[in-house]
Amino acid sequence: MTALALSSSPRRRWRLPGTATGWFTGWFLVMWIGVVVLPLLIISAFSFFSMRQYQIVYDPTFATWTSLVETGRWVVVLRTIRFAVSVTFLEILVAFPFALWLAKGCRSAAVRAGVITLLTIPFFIDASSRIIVWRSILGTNGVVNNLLVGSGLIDKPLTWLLYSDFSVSFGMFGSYFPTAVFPIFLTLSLIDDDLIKASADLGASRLQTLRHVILPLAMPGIVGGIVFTFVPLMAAWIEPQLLGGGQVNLLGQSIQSALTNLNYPVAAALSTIVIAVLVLMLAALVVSLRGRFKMSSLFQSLDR
Amino acid sequence: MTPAVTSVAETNAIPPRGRKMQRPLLDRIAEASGWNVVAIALGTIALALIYGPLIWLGVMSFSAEPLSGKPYPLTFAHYGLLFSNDKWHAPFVKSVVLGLVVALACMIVGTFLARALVRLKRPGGVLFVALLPLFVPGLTIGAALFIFLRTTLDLRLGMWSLFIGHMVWAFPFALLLILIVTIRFDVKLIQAAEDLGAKPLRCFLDIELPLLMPGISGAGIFSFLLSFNELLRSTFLRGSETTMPVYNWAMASAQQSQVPIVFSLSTLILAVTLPLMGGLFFMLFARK
Amino acid sequence: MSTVESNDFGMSRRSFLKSAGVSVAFAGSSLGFASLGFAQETVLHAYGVTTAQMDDPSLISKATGIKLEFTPTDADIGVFMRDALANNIGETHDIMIFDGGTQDILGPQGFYAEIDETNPALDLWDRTPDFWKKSDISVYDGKTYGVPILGNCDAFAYFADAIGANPNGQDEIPYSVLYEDDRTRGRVALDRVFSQSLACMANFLKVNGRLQIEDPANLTPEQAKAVVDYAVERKKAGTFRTLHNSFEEQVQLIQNREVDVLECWEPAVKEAEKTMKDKAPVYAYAVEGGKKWGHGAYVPKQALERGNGEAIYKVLNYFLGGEFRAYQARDRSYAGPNMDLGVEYAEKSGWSPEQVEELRATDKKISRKMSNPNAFWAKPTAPHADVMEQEWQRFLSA
Repeated sequence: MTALALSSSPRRRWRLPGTATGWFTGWFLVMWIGVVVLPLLIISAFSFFSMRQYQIVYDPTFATWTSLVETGRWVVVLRTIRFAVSVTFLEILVAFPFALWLAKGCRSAAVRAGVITLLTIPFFIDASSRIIVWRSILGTNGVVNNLLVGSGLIDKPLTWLLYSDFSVSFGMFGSYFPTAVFPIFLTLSLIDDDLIKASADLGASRLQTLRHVILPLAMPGIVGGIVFTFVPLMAAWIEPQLLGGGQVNLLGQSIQSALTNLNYPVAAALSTIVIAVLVLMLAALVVSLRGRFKMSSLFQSLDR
Repeated sequence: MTPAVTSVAETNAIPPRGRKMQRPLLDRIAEASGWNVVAIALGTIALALIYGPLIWLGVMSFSAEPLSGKPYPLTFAHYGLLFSNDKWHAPFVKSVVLGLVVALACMIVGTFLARALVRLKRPGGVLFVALLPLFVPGLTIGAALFIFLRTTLDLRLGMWSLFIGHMVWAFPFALLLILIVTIRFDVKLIQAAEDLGAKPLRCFLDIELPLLMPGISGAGIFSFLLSFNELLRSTFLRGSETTMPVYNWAMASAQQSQVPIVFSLSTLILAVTLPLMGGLFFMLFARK
Repeated sequence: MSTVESNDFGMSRRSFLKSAGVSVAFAGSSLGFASLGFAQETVLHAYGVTTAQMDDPSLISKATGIKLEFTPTDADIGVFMRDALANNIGETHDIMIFDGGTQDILGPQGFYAEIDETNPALDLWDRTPDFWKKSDISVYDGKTYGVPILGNCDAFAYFADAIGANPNGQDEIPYSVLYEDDRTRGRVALDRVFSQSLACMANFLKVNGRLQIEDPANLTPEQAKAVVDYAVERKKAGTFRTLHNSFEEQVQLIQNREVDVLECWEPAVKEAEKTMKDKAPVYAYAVEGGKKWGHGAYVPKQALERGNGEAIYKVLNYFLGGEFRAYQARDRSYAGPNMDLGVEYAEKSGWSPEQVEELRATDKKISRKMSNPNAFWAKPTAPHADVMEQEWQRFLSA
């Protein structure tokens, strides 16, 4: 632990304050490298081996990588990212105003607690049960089609309602809305009301207050919301399976399919591609924001 | 949190443009503002998307043909099956206990690490390592841990390896939630208390912890839920233990419909957790 | 059979480890079986696919005096092979139950023990028909590694009105209704798993003489490519509505009438019959036969080294007997060896005449399907499985 924010007296430089201690960070890093980094390095090395009859052949080869390209399998990574990015974008677009209302606009404490409860509860319920219900609503003989045909709006049931890109995105949106709202709500509710008031007192318009006061302060929450949505979406398995009906082949299913043959090399190679693409995207984001937005300010206390 | 006002107002100074608007923003938003209506409408639609299927699921748990979407004929048979079948008890209890342990561990480690991170000059590296598991597909993490713990280290897998797998999954989320709160925590408060002679532990318990509590409890709830529903990593790390998701996964190949049981169990969980969580959140977010 | 292994957090396993399977003290306390009158009850641990698990776990205890604790797993061959090869499941479990074919690898490599066909406890072995005990479920390379416990010939289900078939279900229906029939185009569901759908498609092309294929369950790279080319072409023509991946999805597709024909498991039709009665679809006798498969019970070598042989053979014998047969047929429509014993058991135990008649019908039905010369044996551990999987991904992504 290097420089500490608290250094009003020289004594404190040596006595680490409270429990935020260097040994703890060190201990954590050692543990985490043990259970995350090391296993990942080992399995990524597996992408250069091959499997024969469910057992690994320790004979270096590029076969896995070339086959990923030849069969076009690596494309599932891009397709998955496309889904994840577009659904995340939509989530944040809807979640931010809602979180703002929840944190600052809603004045009844009971309503607020009620809404947060409603946002949390779905996660207690087994996801496949939640999702499989949509199939009887969106299907060819489902509720929606029955209503539409019954009312004479269309003559033939719509088939794109289910087993399509639409139904997968639709299912994903519902599943990950709460995780997008929650971090944003948390940061927004920490913004002091006086601050907003002060901004208004100083003559800022509502839009200005939003841009210059609320948004910067909500940034950690928005980033959190993006991570909370994007990451599980990359691994989404239930929505593409149950609502995509095998017509939408995404990463999670591709890896699962490879592992039915215990094909660790393919799983490892696909995951390596994912990590590489995500790190590239992250780097691009950092570079594009450099100068306009001080990233490190995200992670520092107000005390500076 | 009054001290925060000055510092942030300084960094985000807005040029004064007259002093016409005296009323608080909240009042104005509450009046006639279109934003509010849009926000509520969007949120309501999203909530409807979530609760439509859940309510439907509850209705279906009383239907003789739960998968078809037809609510009739009504029957209590599925609940009868659920209560007469005790095979799911042990996995269910196991999942609850494991979830609680994971949540507790995530809350403690997350709080310590998040407090450490905001005090580091360059937290980027540590943060990246901590969040790394987020970028790796679940099955791959499962396979990687299996190969490492079982094949490389030759350990016998069991509840402890499930715990590690679930920690790796839940901890990054827990850390992020706590970090969001610690970032906004004003260290000056501690300084002030220490200057007044308070001991570090007292400072932490009396001043810091209460302010961090929304983030920490959020982290606890999320880690519990992530662990409770975790399947992909568990299939690799279970040894021969069976958690609730693993049970459902295995029963899927029993070639006898599990849906009646799953639907009625879900409905019961819903009925129990709704008031419980409502009470908890009321304590956390509504009390002033 | 009983609750999942180790009900109280590893207690059962620990005690099991100490006493190598014969945990006398624990058996009584665990589930209150003392009331059954067994002063000493042997506990065996089974690991396997839940298809073979009995709904009522106490039946097996009553019949054999052995409590079988069941660690359930999914029908995922990768998970099973991983647990067998890398997770050393034999160290803790006495019986492994899975699709036939795993012995092709686990037998020669020394994980499975050979079945002692003369073991006195296995007294039903001699009367078990060769069709089962010499099948791909049990035998590899002339050696017997497994006891066949149930099986079926998988094809597809159809709504008779959609394809103009006789609703009595006795017609032989060609697989073309799944792949290239204009009446069902866009109203077909296939299985997502390549070992089912790709293999059956290959068998269709083979039987109809369009491709030269030796074993539809084990396609060479060239054959796999040709079959998938055909599959992609049919997909582009809009033939397939959806690919399912679970039993529940199959049932739902039937109950909602989302499709007219679907590749599925026979129990899905049985499940649908419960509420749809005569509106339920028919499980097909296919012209091209279908995929023959079966579950076997295998014995890890370590279990015998622990001295559990006697108890294990009692359980294996139970799997060949009438009680197990009757319940499997009643609950899942699956047959197995010694179906006549199942009928005998049902009659003796006072099942209704309809139920007994149904057991006979199940036997007849499965014999008819299994004897179709076009049907092929499943091969979960096919040497070319990786190639088939890669190619099938091409179909899924097309």
